[in-house]
Amino acid sequence: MRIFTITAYYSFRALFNWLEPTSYLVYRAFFPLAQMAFFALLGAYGGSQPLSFYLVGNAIGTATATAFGVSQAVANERQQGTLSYLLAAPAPRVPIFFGRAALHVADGMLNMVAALAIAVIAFGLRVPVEGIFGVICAMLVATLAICGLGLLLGALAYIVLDTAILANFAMFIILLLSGANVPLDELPGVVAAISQGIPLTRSVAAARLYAGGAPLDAGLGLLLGDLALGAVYGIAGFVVFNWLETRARREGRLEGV
Amino acid sequence: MTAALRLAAQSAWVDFQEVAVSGFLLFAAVWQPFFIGVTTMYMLRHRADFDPMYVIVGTALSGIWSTLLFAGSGAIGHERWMGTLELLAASPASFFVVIGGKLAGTTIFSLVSLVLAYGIGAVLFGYPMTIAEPGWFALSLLFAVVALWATGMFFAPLAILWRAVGRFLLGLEYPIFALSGFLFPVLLLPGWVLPISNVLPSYWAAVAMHGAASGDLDLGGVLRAWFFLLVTGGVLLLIASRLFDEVLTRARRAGTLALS
Repeated sequence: MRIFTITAYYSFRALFNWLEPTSYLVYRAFFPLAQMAFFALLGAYGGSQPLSFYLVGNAIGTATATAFGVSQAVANERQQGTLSYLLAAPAPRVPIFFGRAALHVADGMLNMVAALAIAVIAFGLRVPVEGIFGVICAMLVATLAICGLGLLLGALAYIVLDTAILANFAMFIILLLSGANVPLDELPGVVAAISQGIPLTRSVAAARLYAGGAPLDAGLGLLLGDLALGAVYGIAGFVVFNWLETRARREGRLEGV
Repeated sequence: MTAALRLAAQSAWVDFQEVAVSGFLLFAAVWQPFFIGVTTMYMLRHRADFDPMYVIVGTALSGIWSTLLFAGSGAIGHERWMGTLELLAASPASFFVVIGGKLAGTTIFSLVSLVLAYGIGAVLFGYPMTIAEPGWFALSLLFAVVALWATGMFFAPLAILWRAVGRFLLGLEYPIFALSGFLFPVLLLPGWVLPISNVLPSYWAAVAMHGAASGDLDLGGVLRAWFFLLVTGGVLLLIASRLFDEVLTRARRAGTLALS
């Protein structure tokens, strides 16, 4: 637990230049909120769905920004020259690996709350009181699922080398295929099937249900589905990381993971 | 003048080769416009007045803008990172011309967004694509590219002189898409932001290119858009040249070029 907490704290803190908080504000607040506003306005101009469809979808979609931080928290070890120390340490790998996502869950939630606040204040989104708890649950599940994806991307970045590009791909694929901007029934069959394997698809659908006033149990199945999917991605990331570590030890090149 | 052009051309060629294999800028010029174009096609195609060329032009501009935003704000920082900044500053060749050539190479590369956007409309969605005024469109594209290059030149010293501003610039992708009316009209935005749009070269680029592609602008309208496009771009270039001088002056005065 101690290793988990320390890892969570330092890996999060190391991502941003805390002497000047502009990095954090730009990447974790300004950029995702601008993205949400842009797609909401684009949707309003398209007019095929009500504005609330785009506001809720893209407020949940801001969770994609979390994938950048989580994946970099894993992959930056090599760039910062600390990978060999990490791999040589006797500390158990599970808290080290999953601890990297911990603070991003809270940060992602904060981001989505800000997105939702903008949707309510600037765009006039109305969420019925009975739906608020459900929307919060959807936000939490979305963040957890994206963190799982971020862990996988971080581990994969040791192979393909560029975390930012991987996370950007993930973000745009999710914005296109998760139903945040395009109704799933408009997508071609194969693509719509792929969207079922993408984190956020179910969280977005559940959030829309709750924002429409549905009771909590109406979207529970969807949320559990996304939670399971996020866990699969996270565990897959851990497996990839472990495989790379084993190979690096066997071949005697820790920096070459 | 000939020497400066030769220098700029060499700088552009070196940069073009570098950018063409840069994963990040390839993403900005190719993959991001691809996703934005496809998503926008789906979102706008139900409009009664839907014109696929509108999405194509907006997507292309978004790709050119993103590429120049990232390349421009990192242009001088990249030289520092590569360890070539001191050599550049000490060389008798104009620093402004070298970076200008470099961003020209990036600008030429960013035109791949236009080809890609056309492919999305014509091949992926199968829409018939027609440009109402091809001659005006070609000139609008040329002026737009020059003005957006000038914007990139403005960002280059800005990001070095004030690092916080440099980081803030990286967040300007979507706000400029919106303020410039790349993919939806700026009239959707609150009235108080319209004066901001009017001083952006990217806004006039969108007005000229959308207008020429759809045929919605008459000659007077196109000429007006070209005029403001070149004026706003020219003003930014003028400010940029002063800022480039300031970068070198500050660095030489403090003797901290690598940290300027």
